[in-house]
Amino acid sequence: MTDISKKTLEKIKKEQVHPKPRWYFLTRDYFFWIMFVITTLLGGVAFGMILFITTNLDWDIYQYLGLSLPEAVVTSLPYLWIALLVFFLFITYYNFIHTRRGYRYRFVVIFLISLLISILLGFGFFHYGWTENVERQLRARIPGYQHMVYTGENQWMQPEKGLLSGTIVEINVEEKSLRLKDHHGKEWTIDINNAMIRGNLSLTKNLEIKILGKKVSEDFFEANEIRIMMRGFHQERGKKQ
Amino acid sequence: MVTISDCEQKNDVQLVFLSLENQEYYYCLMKRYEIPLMNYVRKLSGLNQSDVEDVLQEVFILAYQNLNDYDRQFKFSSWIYRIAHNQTVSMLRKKTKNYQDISWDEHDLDQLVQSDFDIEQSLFQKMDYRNLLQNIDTLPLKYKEVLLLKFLEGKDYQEISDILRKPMGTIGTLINRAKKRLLQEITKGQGESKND
Repeated sequence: MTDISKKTLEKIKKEQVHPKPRWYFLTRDYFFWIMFVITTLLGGVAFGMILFITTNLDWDIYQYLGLSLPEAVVTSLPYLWIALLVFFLFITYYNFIHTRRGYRYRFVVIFLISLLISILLGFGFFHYGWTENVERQLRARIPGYQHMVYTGENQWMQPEKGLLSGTIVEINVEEKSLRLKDHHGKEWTIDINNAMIRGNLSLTKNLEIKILGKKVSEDFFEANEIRIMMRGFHQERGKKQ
Repeated sequence: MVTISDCEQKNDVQLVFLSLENQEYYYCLMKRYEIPLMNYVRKLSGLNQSDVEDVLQEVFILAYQNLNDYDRQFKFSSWIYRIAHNQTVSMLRKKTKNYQDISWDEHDLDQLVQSDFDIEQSLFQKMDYRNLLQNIDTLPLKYKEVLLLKFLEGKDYQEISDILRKPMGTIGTLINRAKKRLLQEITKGQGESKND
C-alpha cells in the first residue's frame, strides 16, 4: 500500500500549498453573525409593521364594508409583511446554521427563537413609533406601496361604502360643516349636523379624522360618526382613554 | 525531518499548531488518520483502493489548507472526518470514479459485535453479522453514514453531529430510522431467499 501521507506531504511541498490565513475564516464567521443580527432586526421591523398595520385598522366597521368578521380578517391581513417576516426568519435560520455551532440546534428551535426575538423587537419598534416612520417613508418613496398593503388609510378611503378620512382644512361653525382634504389630496365638504363625535375630541384645523357616513355627491359627504385618526402605539393608548 | 516518534507524545491539537509552524508535523497528523479515514471513505463510497487513495489525498490537502479553521473546542477527529465525509459525498454526487462491492473485514465484524447495535435479538438468531453489514451497504446514504459512524467507527452522538453538521436529536432519529430500514431490508431478503 502506498504511503499516502508521505505522498501528500511531498505534493504539499512541491505545489507550495499553504494554510489559508486565520482572518479569512474569522471574516466568514463574522459575516454570518452580522447577517444573523441584520436579518433578525429586519424580522423585528416586519413584525412591528404587522402590529402597526393591524392596530391601525378599525375592526368594528366590517359591516360597513359588507363583510363578515372572518372575511374582514382575510381582507385586512398585511400579507406582504407576513411574507417578509417568514422570509427574514428563514434567512436568519440560514445564517445561524452557518455559524460554528449553529448546526447543533434544530430548525424548530432556531425558528421559534428567531420569531420570539422578532416579536420582542417588533413590539419595541412599534412602541417607540419607528414603524410609523418606516410606513411613512415606504408610502412616500415606494410607488404603489399603498396598493400592496391594506392599511388604515386604505380602509377609510372608501367613500362609496361610507368611509372617508383625511385632514381638516377648514371648519365652518355656523353651517356645521368641514372642509376635508382626503389622503388622495381631494377636498370634500363634510356635513356634521348629525355627526356623533367619538371620544373626547374637539375638531380643529389640521386634525386627521375618520368619518363614517354617506357620500352624497362627488365632493359632499354626510357624517354620522367622526373618529380621530391616531397611529401606532398612540392609537392603542387613544382607544383606552 | 520530523519522524513519527517525535509526535507520539503530542495530541492532535498540539500537532495542528505545530503543523502551522512546520509542515513536516502535518505528516504525523496524516499518518494518525490515514487508515481510519481510508476505511471510512471506502465503506461510505464503495470506491476501489486507488480511487480511495485519491480522495484521501484531496482530503488531506483540503484539511491542510483549512487548518486555521480548526476550532480546538471540537475534536480534531470530528473535524477531519467531516472533511473526508464531505469530499466523499461530493465525489459520489459527481459519480466519476469506479465502484466495487464493499469488502467488509473481520475488524468491521468485531466492531459491530462490540457495539450496542441492539436490533431485535430474534433477528440475530436467524442471520449473522456479515449479512447485517452487507445490508447496511444497500441503505440510502443518509442512513448508511450514521450507521457507519456509530457502529463501525465507534463515534458518539456528539461526534456524529459534528461530522455531519446535524443536531444530535436528528442523529438519534436517523439512527433509529436506519435500524428500522435495515430490519425491513433484512426481512425482505430473508423472504426472497425462502421463496427461492
